[in-house]
Amino acid sequence: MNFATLKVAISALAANKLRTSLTLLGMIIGVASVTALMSIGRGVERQITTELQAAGTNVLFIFSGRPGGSDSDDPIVPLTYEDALALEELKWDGTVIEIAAEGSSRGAAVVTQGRDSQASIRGVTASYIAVNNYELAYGQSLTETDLNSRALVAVLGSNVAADLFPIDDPIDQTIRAENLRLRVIGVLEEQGSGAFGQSADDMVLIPITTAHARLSRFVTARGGQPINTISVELPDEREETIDAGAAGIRQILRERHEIPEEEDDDFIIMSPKDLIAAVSAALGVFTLFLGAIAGISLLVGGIGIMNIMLVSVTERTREIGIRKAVGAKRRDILIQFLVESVVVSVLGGLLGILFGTLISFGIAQIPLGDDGEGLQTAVTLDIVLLAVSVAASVGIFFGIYPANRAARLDPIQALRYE
Amino acid sequence: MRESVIATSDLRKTYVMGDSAIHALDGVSLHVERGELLAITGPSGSGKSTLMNILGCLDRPDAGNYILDGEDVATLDDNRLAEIRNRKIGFVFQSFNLLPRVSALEQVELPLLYGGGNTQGSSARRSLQEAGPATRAGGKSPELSGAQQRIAVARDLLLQRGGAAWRDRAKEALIAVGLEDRMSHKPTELSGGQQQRVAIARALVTDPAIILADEPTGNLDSRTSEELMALLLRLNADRGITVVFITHEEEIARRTNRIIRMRDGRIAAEERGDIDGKTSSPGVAEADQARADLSNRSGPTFNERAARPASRPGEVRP
Repeated sequence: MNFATLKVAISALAANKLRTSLTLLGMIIGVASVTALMSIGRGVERQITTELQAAGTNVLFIFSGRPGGSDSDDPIVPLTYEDALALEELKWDGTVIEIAAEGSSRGAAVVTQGRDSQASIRGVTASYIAVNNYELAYGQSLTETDLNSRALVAVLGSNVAADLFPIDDPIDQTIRAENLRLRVIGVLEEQGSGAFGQSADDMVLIPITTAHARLSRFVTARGGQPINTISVELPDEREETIDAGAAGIRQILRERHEIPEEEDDDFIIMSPKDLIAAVSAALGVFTLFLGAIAGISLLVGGIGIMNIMLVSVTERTREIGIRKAVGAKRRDILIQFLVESVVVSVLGGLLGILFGTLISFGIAQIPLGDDGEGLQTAVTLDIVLLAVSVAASVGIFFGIYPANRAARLDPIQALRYE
Repeated sequence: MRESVIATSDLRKTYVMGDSAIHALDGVSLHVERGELLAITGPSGSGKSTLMNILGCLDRPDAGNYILDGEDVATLDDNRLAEIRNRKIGFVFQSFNLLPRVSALEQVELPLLYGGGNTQGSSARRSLQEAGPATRAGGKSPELSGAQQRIAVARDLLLQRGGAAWRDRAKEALIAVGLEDRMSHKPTELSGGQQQRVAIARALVTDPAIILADEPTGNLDSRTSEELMALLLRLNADRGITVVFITHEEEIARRTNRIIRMRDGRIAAEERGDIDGKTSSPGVAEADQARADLSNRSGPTFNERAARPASRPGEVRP
């Protein structure tokens, strides 16, 4: 193949402008939809990953459950507040910096003079706000004293504060939730929607001891106060630090839960890195799935190319005969028609990427939800490369049959063709 | 005795149509000398088209030998046959067979394009070898003599491949058929006679061993036919190119050195044509006349052609 072949292909395509542009359109639509849909998938992936990273990558989360791959049938010992307290010993040698626990949340109406809000009441330890990288807008955080005295105090999420105290200073105001009268001591900065689906903006944080004493006196079989999650802050996010922290936690919890040597853990220790890896793997599959759906239109575009090339071969039978008579080999004819279909598909691919990028940009401008922000989209290099290579492969794949048919024509028959 | 450019022995070709077998060629042995002007005639169904397809390396015989220009081509595969067609054979068809939408110059470049770089060396060497005898044949030509042209072409080819050298060769071929002012015209902008001359230039450009002309004047009016015949005769006389006509027109067949009459797949008779192979003077005289015609007028213009199609039979230009 050389420049002359390309020139012949382009002039043959230019001779049938309407037909060529319709074929191109098929490719453009296919590649544009692949590009646009994958850019949405990739954008969502990025958004979620960014949020996970904002939570801090030097934090381990511990919750009840069997690690993946475990086939143990033994009952799971729930995590308790006492488990969290037991982990405090890891702070002595600096393996971990801080430990926070959160109890299960319960949705409740929160009211103050003439106003109310729906919130989720959550008992937490004093370190919870700091370990989760939440910032205080004003007021103060929960303290160890509050925890020890089971104080009736609360830190409000920004939405709750805005609902209850649109004008007044919420600090030292009293709110009622369930059967509790709580004094507001602090308000959190707005956090935005959380990575785990539940926003800190809608929470009312109270000392975990208060929650246990006043809201749910449920005690586990071993006499502990059940909790949801333990968050452990590590000194840094190096792999060794994370491994050492996880190993320490594992040893203590296994001892406390009296798990025999050969048994699996009954808790899961997850680092944000694991989480990010797991989430992006899942989202990557989602992105590819979107791409595959759009790929169906690419397939249709490819069939369009094949169809048009078959028509073209039939129409140009005589031309093929002439070329063969003056010495064109099978390979020459094959390449000539293959180049033609690849030119169409690659040109369609490039234009498709252009249109797909425009579409993806347009989608990002449509406001969604109450914050008025659109879906994030991202046309990344790998999407572009994928689209171009898929387009070229479509051209070759769907071009090879018509081109081969042309190449195999008998010159005598072809020359006689009217 | 001169070197033979075509030597076939006992060529056979059978087509099976349902239950019956048709012996299109039933043992054809033919020798054509280099520089000969030959006509193969016969009624339809006589096997002359099949013979032409085999002589033109478009088809293979079922049996028999075919030595073309020193090469055994009877059993070559499709790709080798394509190479042989490219290097050794120039076709001129009744229906011109030009590519649509392609300029005359590019039509003529086409065989060079498919020849690529590898076959041109041998072609150029052959041009040099033939330069000697061709000098005598082309002595009377007022243009560049055949020898000079060939040496120029060979030099170009040895120095560079493709591109400019191809373009120069194609231009020379178009000049040789008198189309120097129609090089950028497309087939739709050329008269029938001009289109056929482009086809002749295309046949000529690779400097082939033979030109196969299949009813070359079949689609042309008598005046244009006359010009075309004169051109082919002149190319034979001046350049010593072997020309084989396949025709059923007695008038055309008679103007050759030798007439092969086909019937039922065999050579039924062989006659001398009106041009004696040994004394080439009549051909040369005719060619000189043709050249004079060509230099006086270079065919009807596009507008003339549009007003009055040249291919309408029986029409004579005043």
